[in-house]
Amino acid sequence: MRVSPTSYTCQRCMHTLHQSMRATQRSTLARVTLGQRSFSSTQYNQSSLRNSPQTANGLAKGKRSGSQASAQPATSKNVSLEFRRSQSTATPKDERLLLKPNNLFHKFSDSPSPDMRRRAAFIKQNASCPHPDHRQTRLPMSPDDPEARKSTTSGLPPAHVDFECPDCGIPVYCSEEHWADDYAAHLEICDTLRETNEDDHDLRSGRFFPEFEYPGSQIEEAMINMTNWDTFLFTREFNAINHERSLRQATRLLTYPVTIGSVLHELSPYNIKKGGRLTVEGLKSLSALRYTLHPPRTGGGPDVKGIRPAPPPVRIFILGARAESSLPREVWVQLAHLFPRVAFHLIFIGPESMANRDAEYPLPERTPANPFGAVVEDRLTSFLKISTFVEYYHTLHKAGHFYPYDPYFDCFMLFHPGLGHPASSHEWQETIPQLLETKVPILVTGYTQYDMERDSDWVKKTVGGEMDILLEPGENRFRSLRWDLNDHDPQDISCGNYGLWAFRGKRYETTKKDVQ
Amino acid sequence: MAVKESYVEKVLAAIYTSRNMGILPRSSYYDEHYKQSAALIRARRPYLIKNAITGIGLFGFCIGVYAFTIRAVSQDEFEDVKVPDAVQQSPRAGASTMPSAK
Repeated sequence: MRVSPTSYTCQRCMHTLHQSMRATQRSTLARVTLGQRSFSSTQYNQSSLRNSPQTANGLAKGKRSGSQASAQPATSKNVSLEFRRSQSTATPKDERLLLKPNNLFHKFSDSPSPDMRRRAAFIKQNASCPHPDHRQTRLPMSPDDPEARKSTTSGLPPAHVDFECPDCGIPVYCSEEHWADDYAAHLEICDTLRETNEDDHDLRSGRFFPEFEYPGSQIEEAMINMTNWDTFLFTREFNAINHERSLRQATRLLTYPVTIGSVLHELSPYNIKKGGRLTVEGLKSLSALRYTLHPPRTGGGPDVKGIRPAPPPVRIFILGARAESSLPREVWVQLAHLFPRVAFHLIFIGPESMANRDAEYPLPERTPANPFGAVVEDRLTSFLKISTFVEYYHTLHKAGHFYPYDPYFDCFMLFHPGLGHPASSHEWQETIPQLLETKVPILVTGYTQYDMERDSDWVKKTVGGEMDILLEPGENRFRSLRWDLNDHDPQDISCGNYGLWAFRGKRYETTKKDVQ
Repeated sequence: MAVKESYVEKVLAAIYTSRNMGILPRSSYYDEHYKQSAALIRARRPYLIKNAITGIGLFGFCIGVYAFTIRAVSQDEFEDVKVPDAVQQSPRAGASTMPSAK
């Protein structure tokens, strides 16, 4: 019924485009105009890391917002589009690059990129040295937290980091002596930090990013293999991503839609066999959703005779949305491409859901037709609509705005919500019981193994037996392969959607009473 | 000559450029010398061993069938074949026992 965008361009237009292409040797303009509509105003900025409580007794109010001002792939893509056009002449290409591929490691404070130097200054002003000799500045967040080694009473006063490790280039300790002293602990993360350093410089190097070109839809019969990232990218006909660094950059964005898709798709790698992590209740919930997501053919077509009743769109509520809502829309459209002939409605809900979307302010007025002033983007494709509500979910639930919830059509997705994190768990206190009431599956991810286990323990403690686990906590196959740095604490490295689990309100089934 | 060859290479590169989809589409999973790229090898890794074993199994079965058949028909003793009695007319040396076409 729905025509895919790439098949929409008529043959004559394609021929003309290729003619002009050959004439001026601009080899990529056609592909850019054909399949992918780039929303160059949206810049992806990941500001989703937690803020550690400032004092031992008072927790920081509200949000888990860090300010990791990481790069904007969209702007570098625009830069690269421009210099692709002049690719025919060899020498200007080299001159436009800020950094060559073999020259990506720089200490943050000596970096050629002003953005990185700014970050270095920020880290030096905000992060404290993790050496055990200092006094504790905040409560330890996890057993691996270096703050746990520090004592609360005795010791040197806390100092900001100043010294940059020569191997990883990131300011990690206050002085060289402390760095040398704590070398064993630093060595555990030094390699990852160096990789992060090089990846961040790579994003700002001004090179051409083929990994940010996404494919369109494909025929239904071409099945997608979801064993791991490589098979997924191959069967989804992405451009070959040969270098590990490119793979890390690409998966950092794609992890968001593909995590959702990997659970909901019928070819998902999670199954009810031993080690497959899916429980029987999980299979029941997902089968209901898969009934809608893989609809039988109805004989529909684009003409009048092909009109068929269409089911309502599958609604995916992304609660506590922060950076996810500012992802380029081409990334979210990848989720819709996994399920042909299905309409999707992505709903971003959360107080920070308009983070890094300053171009879209001011928010729409609250009218009776739009009582919560939601930003609605319904012109993306014919099968994807995105709405953004800057509200807490419990407000919308009490208003009954999305009522009725249907387990065959709806799904909740919580990307690193920090349910158990001391700074943010009070915000979820009211929402989680309401989510359980809807009996709709709730997928949750976490930054690290510890984060995920803390979340699931908190949920179990809060709601007790009122929930069923659908997917047991474990590593997400489609996690981001890139480790991200927290500017407030360089020792806290995390990767997007590392862990994945799912739960749902308990379904009580009627049973026969034994009547004697 | 050298100038002409580099021109030819440039034209071929333009024709075969993977993004130049209109002229001759090429998969980005193979490099310019048609070797498998790293991405393709990584994508095949979960199946390499199973495919290799299946391949060996199939080839082995095929070779086994050939070997058995050829061994079964390559015997040298023909004692069990009944030779009919020689014809009463004077046999010519080297005459075959099969009836001649005439």
